[in-house]
Amino acid sequence: MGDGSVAVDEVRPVMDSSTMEAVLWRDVWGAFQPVTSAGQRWKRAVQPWVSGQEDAWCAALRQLEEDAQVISDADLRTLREQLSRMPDLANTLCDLVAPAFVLQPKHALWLKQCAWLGGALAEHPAVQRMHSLTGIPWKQLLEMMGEATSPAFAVDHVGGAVYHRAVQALTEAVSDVAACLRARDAAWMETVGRRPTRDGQIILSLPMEAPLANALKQRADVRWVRDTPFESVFEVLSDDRLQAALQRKDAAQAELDACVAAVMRRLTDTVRRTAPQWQRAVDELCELDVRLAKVELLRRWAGCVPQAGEAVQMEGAIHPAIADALGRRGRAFTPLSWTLAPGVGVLCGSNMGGKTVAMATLCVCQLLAQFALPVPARRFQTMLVRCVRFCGDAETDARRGLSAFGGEVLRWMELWDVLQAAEPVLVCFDEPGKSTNPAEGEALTVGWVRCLVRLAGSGVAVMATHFAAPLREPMVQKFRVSGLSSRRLSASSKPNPPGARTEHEVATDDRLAQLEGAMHYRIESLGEGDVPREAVWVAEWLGAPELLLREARGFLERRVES
Amino acid sequence: MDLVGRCQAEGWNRIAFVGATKHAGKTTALNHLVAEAHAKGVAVGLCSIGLDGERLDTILGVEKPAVHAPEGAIVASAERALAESTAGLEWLEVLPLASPLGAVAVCRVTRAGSVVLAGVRQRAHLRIVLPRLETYGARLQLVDGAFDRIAAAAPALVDAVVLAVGAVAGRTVDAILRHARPFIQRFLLPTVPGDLRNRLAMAQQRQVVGWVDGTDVHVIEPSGTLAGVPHHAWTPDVEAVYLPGAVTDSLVSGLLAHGRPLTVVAAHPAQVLLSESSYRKLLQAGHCLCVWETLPILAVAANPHSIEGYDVPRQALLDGLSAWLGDVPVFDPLHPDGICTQAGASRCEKMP
Repeated sequence: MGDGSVAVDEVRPVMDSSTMEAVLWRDVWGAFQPVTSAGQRWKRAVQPWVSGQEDAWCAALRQLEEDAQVISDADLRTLREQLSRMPDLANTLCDLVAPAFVLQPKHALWLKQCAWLGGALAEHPAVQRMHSLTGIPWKQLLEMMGEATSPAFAVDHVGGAVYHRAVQALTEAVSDVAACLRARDAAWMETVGRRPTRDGQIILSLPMEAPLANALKQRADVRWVRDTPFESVFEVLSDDRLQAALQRKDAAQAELDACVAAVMRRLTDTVRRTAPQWQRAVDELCELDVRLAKVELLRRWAGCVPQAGEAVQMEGAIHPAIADALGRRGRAFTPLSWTLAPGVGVLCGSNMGGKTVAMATLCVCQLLAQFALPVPARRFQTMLVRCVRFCGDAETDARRGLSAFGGEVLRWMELWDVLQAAEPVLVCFDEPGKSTNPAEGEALTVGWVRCLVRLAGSGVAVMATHFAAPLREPMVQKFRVSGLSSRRLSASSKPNPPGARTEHEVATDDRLAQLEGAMHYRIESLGEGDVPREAVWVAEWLGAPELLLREARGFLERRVES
Repeated sequence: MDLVGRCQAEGWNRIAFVGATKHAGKTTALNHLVAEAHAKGVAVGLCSIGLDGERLDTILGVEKPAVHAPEGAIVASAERALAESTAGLEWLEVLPLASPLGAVAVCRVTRAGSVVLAGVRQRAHLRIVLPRLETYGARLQLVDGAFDRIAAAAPALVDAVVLAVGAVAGRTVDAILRHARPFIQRFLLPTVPGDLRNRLAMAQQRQVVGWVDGTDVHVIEPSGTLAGVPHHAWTPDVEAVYLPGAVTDSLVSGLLAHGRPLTVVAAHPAQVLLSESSYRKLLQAGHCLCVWETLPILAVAANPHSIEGYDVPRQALLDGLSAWLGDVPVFDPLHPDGICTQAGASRCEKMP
């Protein structure tokens, strides 16, 4: 597993919070679901593999590949259902370190359930095919908790001779008391025709039984408690034999309580001596849980096991969180394919053409791969990087006195730091420079492209932009999203009449759906081309005012002429 | 009368014990049924519900009737409560239910003795606990309710109830019966008639307030109360209202002035929290009260002794209850031979 062996770089983590938020990482990560408490803790603590750890990473990927081959869907369901019943032993094993700690029956039950479950799972053919849970003395651990035939725990199971003698003594003492009570009751029945209640009381109805009540008040073996207008109540006093039997019972109970405490102390010592074995058992069950959770994710996403390579190759990839959101609205995510060699890539294309989603999907697939998790793609090949960063929209922060552009520049500085210090990285810029004037925005974007060519090294930098100049830069890979199909768009219906948003019969939502239907989200390599010009068309389709559109088109025509 | 036999004949497997007052004798009644089931070889499951001061008292040393668990019984209780038990226990499962007395565990009694029941505090907990008791072999599952907690007496949770009525409620049989009347009455309410049932089904399924206005049916959120329901603006044609939550005095007072006979439908008996006077006013106004789902009474346990030191005549109390309850068995658990049924009720006093 890619886990504790990887040091956490808190200064420059593999992903930062801005990236996590921009690519919807939490939603994606939530889909990975170990079922045991230990597995969930593992998930919270796990760090992704990073460059330099390729051997271990490839081994983890191979293991996922092999696990996926040997586990059927039915096995997966059965094993995960069984594992979900695994108790959480973390605190119990931790508490054992304290010399004064004594196991309580609850702890003993959990330990036994763990040994029982581990033993049963170890014998499952699928687990054996996975070569998991080997080398743990499950039987020995189970027998340590007594009665290896059931997962239940009782002090009886581990009591020993002294304990069982104490139980026997108590049982006999209780029998003696019962015999004394029966004899007492029989005597009362014989003498006064009335048996005492379970509380040892004789209750006589008044006035019918007043003579008997008066007679009882004279007797020494009964204590008059009270008279009410309706009843006379007496407490039957214990005779010497009953008194002695009760004392023997109390003494036997005390003796048994002491025995139980001694048995639990002895059991605690035994478990404490074997704590490393118990810890290993818990760790192995946790590892099995995590491996199964990975396979479950692979099946749920109909995904693939990532492969190691020199370039990033993504085929038929989806972003699970966005795909789910689209699915809820009755729409489908168009799977993405994209090949990026190390270096810089520039991505252009229509508004609403999916540039941001493509880059977010790329980041998500890369991050999943670095955790040696399945990727929601038909095929995904990549190399390990040191950091993954996404630089998206910056918002105005009035409290800090930052304009959107100010916020963007601050984010640039963070990324600059990362690019200087860590190598290789995967970094995605979503339309840099769009928050300032276009001339300077374009200049800054070109500046970034030139710097990235120098800084990207063996990593990958991708930039989505509407500016034309970056596409003319040398040594960059150029891509475009395919964009709108005029045939598909005109086939669906006519655009909204300009300025008719409030009165038009077709809802904007329907227009958006038609626009999505006409959009090709495919990513294509771009030769010597220019930036696609579809923004005015999209605006018209969505019902922008006619005057606005006319002015915009006029301006474009005059610029071309000049 | 054989209470376990009655359960078997009626197909009741889950029984709640509810007291009309504190010290009404419900734990004693529970012990009676446990002993009877054990004698018949029926395995019982035991738990209690409620943040019960009585049980905490037990742990703190104040004397309370202990629950006597025979060998083979399955119990669900909190860790610290189980530690106070003298019964030998085999621990079967720790449930995901936390309580101030530790996690709730399910245990099998391997050696008869007393058990302290605590830790199950909500209906949602019972929904977890009862199936586990059954899984481990308890054919009859008994829920000891805390004082003033009628939470367990819901048809979705249990099949029948044992009601405990004690002399602590009054110094005379009349006073006890007067106090017990609204408590017991709710379990004797009729179920909603078939035509109204069909028309109010949507409100019941969604657990929201709903009312029938002529041929129309209206529903309104939120569930549980009439708050926000425009009952002042109801037309005279409104003939029935379904209330999914507690039916209280204040809620009913708002309905008294309605211009035509109104059928007020509560979800089940435990949701009817009306005082006798409010119930009386409702009837006097020409309205009627019924329940969507009723909950049968297995028996009524009568305790003629008060912990305050006085007693009322046992037979008069048994007879008074029997006269009113018809076929429902009435008994004093400390004198089980004295189970009184309607047949033996010729000397009964009239209900006040």
